[in-house]
Amino acid sequence: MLYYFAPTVTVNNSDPSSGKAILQVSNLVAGYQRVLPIVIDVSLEVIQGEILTLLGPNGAGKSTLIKGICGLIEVISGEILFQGENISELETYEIIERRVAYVPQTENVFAKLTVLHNLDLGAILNTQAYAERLEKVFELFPDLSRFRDTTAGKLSGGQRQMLALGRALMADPVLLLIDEPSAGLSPVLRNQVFQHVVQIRDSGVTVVMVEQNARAALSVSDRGAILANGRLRLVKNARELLEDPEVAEIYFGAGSMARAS
Amino acid sequence: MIQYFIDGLVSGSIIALGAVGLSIAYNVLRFANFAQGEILAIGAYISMAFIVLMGAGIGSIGPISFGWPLLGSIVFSIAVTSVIVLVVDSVLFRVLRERAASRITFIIAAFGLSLIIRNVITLVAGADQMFLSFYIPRAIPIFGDIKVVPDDIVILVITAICVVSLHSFLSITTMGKKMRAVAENPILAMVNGINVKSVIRWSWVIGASLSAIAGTLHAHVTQLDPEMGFELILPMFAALIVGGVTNVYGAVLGGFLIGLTEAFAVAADLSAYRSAISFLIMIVVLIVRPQGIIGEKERDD
Amino acid sequence: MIDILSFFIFFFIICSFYIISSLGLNIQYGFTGMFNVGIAGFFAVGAYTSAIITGPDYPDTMFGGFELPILLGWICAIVVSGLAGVLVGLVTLRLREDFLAISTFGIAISIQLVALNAESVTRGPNGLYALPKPFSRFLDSAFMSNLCYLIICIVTIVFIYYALERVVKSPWGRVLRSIREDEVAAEALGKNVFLFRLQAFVLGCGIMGLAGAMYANFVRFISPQDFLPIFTIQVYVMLIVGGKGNNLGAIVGAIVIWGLWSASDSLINFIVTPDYQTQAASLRIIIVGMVLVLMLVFRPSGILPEKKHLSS
Repeated sequence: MLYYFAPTVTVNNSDPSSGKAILQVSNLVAGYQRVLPIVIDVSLEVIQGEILTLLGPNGAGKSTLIKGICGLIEVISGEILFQGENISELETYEIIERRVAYVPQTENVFAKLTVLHNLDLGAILNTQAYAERLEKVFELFPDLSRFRDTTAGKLSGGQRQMLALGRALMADPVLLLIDEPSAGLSPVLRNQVFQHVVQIRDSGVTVVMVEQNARAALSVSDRGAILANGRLRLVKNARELLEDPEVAEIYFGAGSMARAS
Repeated sequence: MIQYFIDGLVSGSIIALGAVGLSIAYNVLRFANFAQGEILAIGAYISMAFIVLMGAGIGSIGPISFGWPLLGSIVFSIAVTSVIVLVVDSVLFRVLRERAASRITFIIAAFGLSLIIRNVITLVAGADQMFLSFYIPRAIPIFGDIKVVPDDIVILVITAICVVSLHSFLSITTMGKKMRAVAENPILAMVNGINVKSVIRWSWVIGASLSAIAGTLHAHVTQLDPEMGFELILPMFAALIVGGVTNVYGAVLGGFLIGLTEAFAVAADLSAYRSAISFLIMIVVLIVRPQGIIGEKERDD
Repeated sequence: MIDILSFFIFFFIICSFYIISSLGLNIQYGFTGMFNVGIAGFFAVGAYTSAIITGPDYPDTMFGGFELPILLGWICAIVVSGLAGVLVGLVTLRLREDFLAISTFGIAISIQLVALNAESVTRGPNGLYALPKPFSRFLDSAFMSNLCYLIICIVTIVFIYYALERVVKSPWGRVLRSIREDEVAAEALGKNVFLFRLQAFVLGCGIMGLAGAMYANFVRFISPQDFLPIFTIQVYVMLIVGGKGNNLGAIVGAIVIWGLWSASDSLINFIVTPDYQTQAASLRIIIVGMVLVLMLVFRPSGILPEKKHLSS
């Protein structure tokens, strides 16, 4: 009931000082089955070099949207342009080959393989400069270096999240899609993850993340996009979203209630 | 007694190679392929076809009762069997995969397929047993009193080469690493940029190749029989489970164990019941230690 | 005229054994989702039980030949098959579906091996012969005897059908279906999943045993060759084509597939010379195999899909 207040909003709510769009989603309809679309008529631009956070209640279609972008969910209609190329009909591995990386929310590491092995697999498409990229990942996540020969399944939740991000970075992506990076983590670890996301962005990667912890995520993002019931409701500068009392009331009020419970 | 042991190793090799195909299907393709035995049969009959076409007989190399023609037929059989297997996957299993059919549906399909294959072989080659070659169990002394049949040694060597090659493939090559990733978590593998469809095709080919070799060797040691697939499938499953389902080397270990078990059953004059004995061991393992000797506990997915 | 009628009577009698087996499988696979690949084995247990209980005393067996009434033979068959189901179920039902398939497959093979080798009881490959047929003392002609048998079969089928329909709509049946759909949820609701599955399994096995017993006392001679895995596959094709989870589907599927099988048999006998008979037989099996595979690909729910039972 709270979420029907705005009509669907389309493109071009970007920050005027920003650069060009790296990803353009136009009128996307996507879902697991044709007859049951989850993402409904979403149009969105992702600006190169930004951190864009997708927000909204459970079941809003945020995860489905990014799965649709990387080909794990069927695109029923609409278009997805990545660096000018239409990727909506491509297979997942072809999209990944184009330097899009995706970090799922669960099962995001190969639990039976070692940390090093996981990172190895991350680089499987492009073994050039493997050593350098491994160095960079270890710089960003020193724990991974320390535990490089440990089986991934034995890592703690926070370490596993780092490994999942590290694995994605080994492919030297241009665009990184992350599904709820802070899920299941304590507030301290959560902030650490978000700091890592900022560092990743600073190294030149555009980041789109789905998050439930709206306030914390927005505080490190450039823009936020709010989805509800499969539709895009609002796209705004992150700070404006944080400061907007109405939005705060509706989204963060609900969010903080959820966190409190 | 030694002879029984070696017989066990020989039949164990054949079961092991077949069980590896089964293991790959189980771990990468995620279903129990009841038609795997028939793939061995196809391999054997294609070898026969090659030898008949070439008309040069089996040949012999020194004390070994087969020669280059048989080895040539194995190569030919690997190629043809792989093609057949890829066609079947493309026509049947791929369709079921795309529909996300249940595991049981795959198994039923495999059953139907095994029935079809077995009877196509009967249709084309007749129901009678045929001799691929003549395995002459003439033991030749090597050290002092110890006598060994040369063919057996060659078979064991071929198996060793296959196992070592497989190991190298899986640990060193990129495709091997991709296969292991897909076996562990197909979606994460896709997300990693791995072309899972390509991995699936490779898995079928590797399984089929090893099965073609195993089938031909089996036909050499015994004979060609349209029922050979059916006779081998239970020992192969027993090998898979006893050795450890999640681990391809488990299939190899299991193969040898089951081969030896059956050989000792024959030695103890229980030849008629030997499949039942293998099966009994399999059931015991399933109850007591379902992950097998060197397997790991599986998550239920 | 009598000839044609005879043929159809014979056709439907044999078909009945498949129908009953199909109904038994429907409980296990259709309603509870248990993939029992050992149907031929339980059918064989029923057949041999009845043969041993009702058959004459053979000179070369140490056990059996009790020559007891046929009805008793059939009841014993149900019980012994059921017991076999308990044994097998206790060992295998906790396993996952593919392991259950492998296990039951192996069990059927083992049962056949025992039938082949336990010569002091089963006479091995020579089989058990001269088994009594119901009412054979009172009826002279084969035609009347078969007609009588057909009536027995139809009565049995009707009884089993209605009994199973009641069972399926009952609370017990609902639990079975919930186990099939989501075992974890059923466990969470406090249902002892294993016990329910065992009950369904044993019920199915008992029914298959009855089919086997009825088979034995009709054909009057059984040997291990009658219980090959092809039987298991035939029943699966019948259930899948007819529509698993639907008792009427089980019946329809059995009739359709048995019809196909018999028709192709006659057709092949008509067309093909005796030289090629074995190969022609293979063609028949290939056709049935293809029907199964095509059905799985194009219409997995079968001719008569499962009825949606409304929960009260």
